[in-house]
Amino acid sequence: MMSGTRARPELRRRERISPVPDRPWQTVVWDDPVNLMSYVAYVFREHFGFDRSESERLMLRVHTEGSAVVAEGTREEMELHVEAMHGYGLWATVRQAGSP
Amino acid sequence: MRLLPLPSGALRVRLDFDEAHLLDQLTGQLIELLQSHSRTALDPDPLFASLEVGGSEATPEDPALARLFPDAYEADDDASQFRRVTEQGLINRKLQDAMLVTSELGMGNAPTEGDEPEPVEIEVTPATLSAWVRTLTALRLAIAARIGLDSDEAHERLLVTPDTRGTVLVYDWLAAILESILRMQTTPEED
Repeated sequence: MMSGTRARPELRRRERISPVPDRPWQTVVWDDPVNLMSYVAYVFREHFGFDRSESERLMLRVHTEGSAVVAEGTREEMELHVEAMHGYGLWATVRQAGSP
Repeated sequence: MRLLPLPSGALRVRLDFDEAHLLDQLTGQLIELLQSHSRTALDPDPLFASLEVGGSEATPEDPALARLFPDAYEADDDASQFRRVTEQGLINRKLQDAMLVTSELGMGNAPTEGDEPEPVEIEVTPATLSAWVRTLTALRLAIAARIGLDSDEAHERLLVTPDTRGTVLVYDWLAAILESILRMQTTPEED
């Protein structure tokens, strides 16, 4: 999907110093009572390019455990994923690994 | 509603006139809601529109908008900053999706009086699929937020409450359309 890889002007995000530089950032998708399980799996396939079984596995983890980490990397990468998830109507947040 | 997969990979969706009319009305309301939260006119260039900066900083008060544009961070500062750079682009992309659905439904012309209203046939192609499923989802999210449908238990309760029963039935009907479109989308080479 374009939204996953879109180049963005550098100016758009202020330079930020991460509080704990060596810990990766995460994209967390949260369970919600509205989105269909089939739709959540579709979004994971479509946006992240996961195969069917990986998408189903992550979707089920969201559903049964309340949330799942679906990507890890730099803060900027995770923000692009979360923005894309919001575009699909999924409830997603950015956090640093090891955050409470 | 009836669906038929076409050899081209597209999907033909046949809606009764009343179904198409309802979907058109709901999508129109979604467009109004999004426009009410937008700070700029929609740039006619889709690329510029999708990259628009200049969102608000606070979580919207309207529960439907708050669910369509949730906080991306637990911390308020980070959430505000993210919202400022992403929200207007998200609004614009949701508007573009909803406008595509409206235009595909083509309900601009009301049936001539006396004529039997005819079913509406649309083709959901691989290129328009994401606009359809995102818009159906946005409608369900907005409806659920408005009536406080936040759990399975609430769904059952609202379904037997006279004031909300009709809305819940529409919400379930949108889910059925979305589910059917997604099921038909399962192409053999993906497995």
